[in-house]
Amino acid sequence: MRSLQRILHAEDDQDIQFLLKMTFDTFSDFVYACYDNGEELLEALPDFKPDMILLDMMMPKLNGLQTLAQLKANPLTRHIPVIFLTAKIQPEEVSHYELQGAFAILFKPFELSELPGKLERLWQRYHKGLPPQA
Amino acid sequence: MTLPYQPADHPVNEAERLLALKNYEILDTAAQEVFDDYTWLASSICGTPIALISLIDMQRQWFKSRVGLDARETPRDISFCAHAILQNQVMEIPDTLKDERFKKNPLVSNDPNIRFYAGAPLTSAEGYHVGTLCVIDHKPRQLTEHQKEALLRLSRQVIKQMEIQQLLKERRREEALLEHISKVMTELASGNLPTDVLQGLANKMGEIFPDTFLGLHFSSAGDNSKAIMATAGKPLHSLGFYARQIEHLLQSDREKKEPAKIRFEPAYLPLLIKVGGTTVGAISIAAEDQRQLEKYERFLRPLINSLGSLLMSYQKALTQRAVYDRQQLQLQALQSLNDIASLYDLNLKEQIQKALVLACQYFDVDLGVIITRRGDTSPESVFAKHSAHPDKSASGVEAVDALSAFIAEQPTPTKLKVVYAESSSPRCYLACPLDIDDQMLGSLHFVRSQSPQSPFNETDIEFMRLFSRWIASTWSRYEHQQVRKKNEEMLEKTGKIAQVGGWEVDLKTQRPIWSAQTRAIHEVPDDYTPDMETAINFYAPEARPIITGLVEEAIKNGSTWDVELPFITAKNRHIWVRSAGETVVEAGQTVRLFGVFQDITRRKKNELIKEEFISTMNHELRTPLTSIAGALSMLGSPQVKEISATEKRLLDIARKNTARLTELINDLLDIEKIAAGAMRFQMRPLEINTITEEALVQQSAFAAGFNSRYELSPCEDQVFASVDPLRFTQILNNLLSNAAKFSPPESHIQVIVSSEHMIDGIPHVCIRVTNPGPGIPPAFHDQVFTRFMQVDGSDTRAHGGTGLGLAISKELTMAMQGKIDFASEDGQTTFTVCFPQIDVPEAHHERFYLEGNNAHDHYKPRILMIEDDKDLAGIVGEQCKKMAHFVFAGSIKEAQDALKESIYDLVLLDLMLPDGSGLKLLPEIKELAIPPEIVVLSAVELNQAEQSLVDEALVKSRYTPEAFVSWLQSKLQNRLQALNRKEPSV
Repeated sequence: MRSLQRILHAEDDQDIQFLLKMTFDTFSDFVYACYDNGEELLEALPDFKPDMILLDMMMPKLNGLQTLAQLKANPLTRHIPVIFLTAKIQPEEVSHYELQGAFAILFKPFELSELPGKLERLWQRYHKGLPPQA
Repeated sequence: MTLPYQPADHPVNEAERLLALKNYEILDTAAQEVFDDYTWLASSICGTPIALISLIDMQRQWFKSRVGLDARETPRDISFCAHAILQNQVMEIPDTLKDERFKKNPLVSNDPNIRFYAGAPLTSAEGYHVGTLCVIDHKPRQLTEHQKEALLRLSRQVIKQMEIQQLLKERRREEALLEHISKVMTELASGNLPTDVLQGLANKMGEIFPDTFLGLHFSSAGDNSKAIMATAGKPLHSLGFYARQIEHLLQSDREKKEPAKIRFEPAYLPLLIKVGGTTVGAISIAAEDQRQLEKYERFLRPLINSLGSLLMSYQKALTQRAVYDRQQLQLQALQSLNDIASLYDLNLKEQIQKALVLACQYFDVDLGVIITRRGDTSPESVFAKHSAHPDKSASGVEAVDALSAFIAEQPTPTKLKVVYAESSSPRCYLACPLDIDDQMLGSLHFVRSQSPQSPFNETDIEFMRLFSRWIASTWSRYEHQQVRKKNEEMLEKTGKIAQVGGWEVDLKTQRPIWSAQTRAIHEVPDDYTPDMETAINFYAPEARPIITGLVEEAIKNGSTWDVELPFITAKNRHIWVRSAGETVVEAGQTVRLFGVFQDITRRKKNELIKEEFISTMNHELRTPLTSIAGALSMLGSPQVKEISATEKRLLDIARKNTARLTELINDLLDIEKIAAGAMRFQMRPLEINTITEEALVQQSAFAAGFNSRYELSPCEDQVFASVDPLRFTQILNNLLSNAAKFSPPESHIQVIVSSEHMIDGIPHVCIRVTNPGPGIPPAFHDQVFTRFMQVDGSDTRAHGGTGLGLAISKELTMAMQGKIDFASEDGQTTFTVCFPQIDVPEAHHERFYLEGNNAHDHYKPRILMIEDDKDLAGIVGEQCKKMAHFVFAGSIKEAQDALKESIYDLVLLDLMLPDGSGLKLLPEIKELAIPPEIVVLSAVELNQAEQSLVDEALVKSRYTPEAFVSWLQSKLQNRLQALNRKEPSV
């Protein structure tokens, strides 16, 4: 199993984009790219070849779930673990993401400095076939 | 003119003599040998060519027998015999030409040229000479003494013969009459109408005695009817005469007086018919002479003797028949009451009115009135009234007003009473109270003007009793109905306001009954008649299997339900309804379902809006917090920028308060959701020791922050309760963190799980969290579970927390049918949360462990894969073996065996199996004690009905084996995750 290296993110909040970029640059060696919505993420995906995808739920054009559906429908991207970073965290909503194939859901707000370590652990668990227990 | 001959004088007793002759009834009868023998003898003895038996009628002499003469009769005035009957001896004329009386007689001068005549009188028993036996010759001669004597003796024989014949004739008549009388008696005895019978008798007697009169009078008991029931023969007197005579006789009879004896012409004889000394009737007979009457009396005596008792028994039979007829009438009336009672299209008031009309007819009264009486104070009023003559006063019948006034004057009856008022206006009055269960409803009155022709008898009274009882019970039902109707109307009205309808189903008829409001919610017309299927089909397609399942379950097990489901009205409006149902179970069998039905669309919309609002608020609050927290985090990070101690202090303040704000948002949203009823609970059986231990492990880091630790004393046995794991953990976390926060540092916080605590008679499992510390002052005990309440307001910052935790915990506990309480004594505080225990068979325990960090290592879900594609089964089994136990079945048969052997969490079902469609297995799987989740793999998309039976359906063509494995893995992960979901800490 190779290590987690490339992370692709879709998030429409520019502040969060900026903060995450700063976080990954500061606390990790991940190659990180963020796009404003799912549509742009899907466009960038073939070139970027991410190990892991982070999705916000509420986004213009293609929201988190719609993006997830496309990722899971495509045999080439189906295996990529998808993690939701979202403030839409009603239990019904959460179980819906899970049923649609999201590997883990991280609720906003979260502690930024801990994020790289958390993603690394999720990556490990995903490849061991374990549930995304934090 | 002077006749050349001398006619004979009439005897002095001519009238009687003629009657006597007539009574022999011999005139104009045919010749008879016996009489011819006498004339032959007379002619022979006397040696004369002619001998005659001559009878002297009023105007003629008629020959009963004759020898040597052709003539049958001659006028009386030229008759020799008319002379002969004037004397008692033989009259002899030796030579007619020498006798002045006869020499010019045509019978002398002409044919038969009588020269000699000798005649002996025929003397009746009473001494009347009715004729002669005479001999005649054409030459003069003289009879010897011997010859004269012979003629006399022969004449006596002739009259004797006549008398014998007459007697015989009368005897025959008598026999005929007696025969007829016996026939009459038989007829009377067999109950034929006496008028007909007596008329028959009279006719018969009239035939026998045409010259007489016969009148039969009959007086029935108690009624002085003087009517002549039958007459026959010549009237002889006026009919009024007979009636008066009988009346006079009966009057005397009643007064025990001897009636005055008067002789009447024609003769009249009344014969009284008596029974045991009482005169019940009479027979009048009248005839020309007394002697005849006496004879008739003789004839009639046996009839009269037995007629009395016969007529009486007939009378009795008649009375009995009248009673019988009355009873029949009563029976009919009661039957009619029954019929009225079963006329369901009539309301009760109409039924009572109809019954009143019937009773008026039955009692033959002019007016019937039912009077109400409500309490002692309120005035009486007429409830129902029927008049036989509503328009005008019929002749002899008083006006309705007068009769009504009469009834009004009567005191209220306290028991059944009958009054015959005999004052100026005679009346028949029948009244009785109407009461039921000692409650006086009113009274019932019948009145008939005029004296009774037949007074009310026992039968009538009995009928009155029955009738009043019927009226009372019907009336009482009517009153109840009125009250019920009012209640129903009110219920309908309130139902309408609350939009709550009612329904019920009799399972025998399978016919649902809907209240008006239920129909209104369905938007169907008032006359709409639903059946079970159409009723179900009003639900939205996705809701039908749910409601069908609930109804079937209720029918099977007598269970109840209360659900909120989408619904489509008859006008195709999509609404939300609440359906709640209860069952009526008789002898272990559900016989009836009933419940309420409510349009909750508005509430549901509000709920959805609230949920939407909460969800949006959540998102909108969290998103900026994320940026704030993130920015603060980065700013405080030494890798980003070196900061001064003051700056770090300021950043810590901002970060700490951001964290508080996040916590507050979480709690507020929870409270909001609970208040909105939008909190959803996913209840399932859980082993409580395990989940408690899990919570402890989670919170241990928090406690470590206070240098405290938790000590768990689990329950010895496994113990189960039905809870939502997420919410249960939330409650425990709250209690555990509170315990840590409010204990002195380095405390031991005890957590004890125990079972079998009886609360309200139900065993509960309880978790106690006990911490040392100052405890909660008694003054605050009431407010421990109140929002935003911490004992020491100034402590908030010291202890952290929002003050919402316990309020939320209490709401969550109660929503899951649990109880939460605390006890705080000096030195320690214990919070206890309890939930109803449930029994889970040991074989299934494994399923209900909450998976801990390492739980999946020893628990894997069991999957039954029913699939005949061995390759696919192989790939799936290999790829997922770490996550689940697999059992494979290649056919329906194998699947059935596998289902019997073990319990499964998930069934993967291929539809195209060698021995049929996998759909066949669905009912069997659904019936399992713990039904697994069902995922169908099929070549084509399932229809809606099929889809509703399974949890998920995958179309095979869209999944490569790899894709399917990936789907299954993620499903299994989600499953585990769902079992043990935790919010990441901030």
